[in-house]
Amino acid sequence: MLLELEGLVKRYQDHLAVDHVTLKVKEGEIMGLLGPNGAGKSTTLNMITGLTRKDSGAIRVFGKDNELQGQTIKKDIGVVPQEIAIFEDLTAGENAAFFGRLYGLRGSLLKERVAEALAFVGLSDHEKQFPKKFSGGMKRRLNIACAIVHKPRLIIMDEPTVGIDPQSRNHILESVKTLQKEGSTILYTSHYMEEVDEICNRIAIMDQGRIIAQGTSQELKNLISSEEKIDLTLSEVNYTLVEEIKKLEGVLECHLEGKQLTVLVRKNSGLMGKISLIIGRSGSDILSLQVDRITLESVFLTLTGKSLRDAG
Amino acid sequence: MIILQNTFKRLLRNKVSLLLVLVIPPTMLGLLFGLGGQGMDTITVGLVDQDQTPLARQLEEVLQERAVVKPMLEEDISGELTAARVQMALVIPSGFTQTVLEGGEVRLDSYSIQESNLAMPVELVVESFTRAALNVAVAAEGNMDAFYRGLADYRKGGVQVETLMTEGMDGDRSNAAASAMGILGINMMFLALYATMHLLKDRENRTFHRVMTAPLSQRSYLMQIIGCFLAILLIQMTGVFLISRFLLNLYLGVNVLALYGVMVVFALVCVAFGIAIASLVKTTRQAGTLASLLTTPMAMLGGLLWPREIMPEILQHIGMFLPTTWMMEAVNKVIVSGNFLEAGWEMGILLLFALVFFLMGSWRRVDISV
Repeated sequence: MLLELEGLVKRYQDHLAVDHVTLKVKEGEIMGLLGPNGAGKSTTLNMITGLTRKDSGAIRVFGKDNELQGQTIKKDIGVVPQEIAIFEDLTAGENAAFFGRLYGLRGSLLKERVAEALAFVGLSDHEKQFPKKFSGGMKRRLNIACAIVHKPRLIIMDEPTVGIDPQSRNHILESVKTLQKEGSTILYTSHYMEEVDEICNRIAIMDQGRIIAQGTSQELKNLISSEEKIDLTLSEVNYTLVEEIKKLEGVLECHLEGKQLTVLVRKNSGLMGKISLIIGRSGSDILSLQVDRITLESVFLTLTGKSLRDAG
Repeated sequence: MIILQNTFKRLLRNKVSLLLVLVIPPTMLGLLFGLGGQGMDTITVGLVDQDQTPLARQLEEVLQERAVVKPMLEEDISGELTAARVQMALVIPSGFTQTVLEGGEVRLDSYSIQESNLAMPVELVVESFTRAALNVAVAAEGNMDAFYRGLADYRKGGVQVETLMTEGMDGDRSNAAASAMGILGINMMFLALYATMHLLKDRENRTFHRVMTAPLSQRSYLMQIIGCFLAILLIQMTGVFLISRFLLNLYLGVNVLALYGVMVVFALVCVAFGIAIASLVKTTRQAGTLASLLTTPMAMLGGLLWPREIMPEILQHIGMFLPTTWMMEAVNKVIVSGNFLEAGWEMGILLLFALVFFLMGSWRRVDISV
């Protein structure tokens, strides 16, 4: 295993931020850590990178204990923080070079790696420019370039696509896949299920400091394969109907967001008629109806009783 | 050395720090002391001539070789001196020539601001001239023509009065040097605090945390930051010393290197003070508030802006708890004595301040991410 977390605990006074987290990441895979804001993802990553001291448990990276051999381990880790942590008063090239030098790169190798990293994120033409002139997406890409300039074995990415345009997001997701192909192992956290579903080989779902499920996307979806997800768009919103629907035998979860009603039901339970009746009685009309395939969102909904967005 | 180089590069790219390093201190000194101004001993002497004789006029001519002479009335002396329009007033009493010719005891009243030594060379010239006049008068035996001829020969002759000041005892110039160090001290504190803001900005935008995920210990990071801030302060100090000495022609005491040494120790205190503030606060706004609450009173109570002696005793006592006070004490001692060790006690206290601030600043946080 490239990374092993065993019974990891972090407490801030009365708040248990990370609650006995156990996780194993194999060499060469992309492991997704999915969970809402405040689930304990960043705290877990901070403990791996040594920014936060753990209360108990063990962290082994490359087979070494990170408390005893932290400095050695860090040489082969690249961190893409959630915030855009770059120096605005250094050019893109200088930023990448600074981080390269921190990891021991010098001379022509440093120049070569800086050029490679900037090319990788599509910023070669902006090497001499200061990031303050960059768009949010370009800054995010530079944020990544600074983490990969020393070609680390393990790349930890903490919500690297927050707040950027779809084009830059796609660019970043493609870059992550390429990094994996080039041999890097990636620990990727996000609260966007779609991107985790798209790029990760395995996924761990985190909520309230605990890992509540882990496996491949399909394995997680199989956990609730006996279920169906029904999405309805209503003409009127009536919150009492949610309670009524929840009382129906075979309804696992019901959730209303705006005029969008999501109901998780047991497969083949034949509840559609009863649900339509309740909606009609409440004075609302069904504008659209869709029985969805199982997504990570519905997995999260089933496991935690709340949607990812609400939980955040 | 990567952190040191990077911080150094970024600080020197910043316009505000460049202003604080290269522009503001020399400008303040230039405005205070004037370009090429101080130290040339040109003083204005107010002359009250109640005798109105050729001898009195000759004395005036002699004075004009050493000072600007401003004729005035006796009742104006006090006002002119306090308004600093003259640095010295000399009264030639009625009957002065007569007394000289008779070989009597000559008494010229001179007035100057207490503790100012600027008048001393002029007083020596007056004394020398009257002594010579008395000697010539004795030789002339009452012959007025012979007396004036003899006096003319005396003035033509090679008898020159040269005043050699004992270095360090020249009060006004020493005060000016201390004032210059006070101004430098204020600028050093501001620069150290500005650099601290830079450090806090790195914490706010999380670049510090990112750097800490690299194979670099917190101790090494802190040492490099300290080294960088110290280097910046040394550049500022060196610039101020060079400009003061060679452009503004300021007197910087008997031993400039010893004075520089004192300021190096104060630079350590400033850096440590900045690091301590950075560890106590979390945001640049908090640091800015704390800095303005601390720096200005420290400068005022420590005697960086004016002599501590003019403050009430209670404030002078409070000042004893501030490093600025001990810096100025050390500066005043070293300017006069030229001996670094003369200020050993003050240096020791400054180093103690630096140590305490460093300990406050380097208190290791278990959780860097917090």
